[in-house]
Amino acid sequence: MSELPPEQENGSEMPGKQGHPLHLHNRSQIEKRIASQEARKLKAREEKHHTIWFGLGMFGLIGWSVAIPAVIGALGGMWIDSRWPSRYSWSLMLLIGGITLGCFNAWKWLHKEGNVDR
Amino acid sequence: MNLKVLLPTEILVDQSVSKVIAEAENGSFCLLPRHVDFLSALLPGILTFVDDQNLEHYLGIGGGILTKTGSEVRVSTIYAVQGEDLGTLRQQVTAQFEAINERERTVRSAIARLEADILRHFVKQGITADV
Repeated sequence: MSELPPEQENGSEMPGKQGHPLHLHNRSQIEKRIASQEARKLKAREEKHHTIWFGLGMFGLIGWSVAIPAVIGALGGMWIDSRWPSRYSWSLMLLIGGITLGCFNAWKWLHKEGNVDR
Repeated sequence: MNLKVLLPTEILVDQSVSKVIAEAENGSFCLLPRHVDFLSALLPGILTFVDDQNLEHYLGIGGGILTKTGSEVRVSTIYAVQGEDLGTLRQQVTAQFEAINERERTVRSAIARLEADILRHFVKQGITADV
């Protein structure tokens, strides 16, 4: 048996946990916790589908944002080469230019999207 | 694995499950049939279990103790409500607490009436301090 006076023995109780666990205060606590967890679980459930589409969309966007300028550059260069032949290969120059533009575009976009968790 | 959820007044859930997810002081954990025996105090929140048909069920619980002994998982709690679905669980909890409140109010007013009645009787009997 400890020699503590009784008020010290039950002084170890945590605040907010006195009395019956279904007191009003604790009830609202329980309700709040359940509500927040429910919201979180629902959100997670929606995110599951959302993430797949989001990922596919991102993949597609990055791919296209590089591919389209490159193709446009190459086609435009070939057209210029066929119309006004010169010492320089316009198709090569515009192809590289298109790829560069696309990469820059993709990088900028990723940077913008990547700021979500910061 | 068999899950039993024990309330002071009833056994809320007693069925075979394939997975139990609950939250303790140090975070959420998941129990599977062949996990080691386990004992934990649960926080108020949502207890999820998956039945043999692979359906998820949700229980709102107000804290409690969970024990796993072999293939038997027991949860003892003072308050639990089984939600049909995630979206409606909160409303059910609110509704139940409302009902509890209502009951408490009724009890309180009944006790107050009894007390007043007894006092009235004493007064009618003419009980005075010299007795």
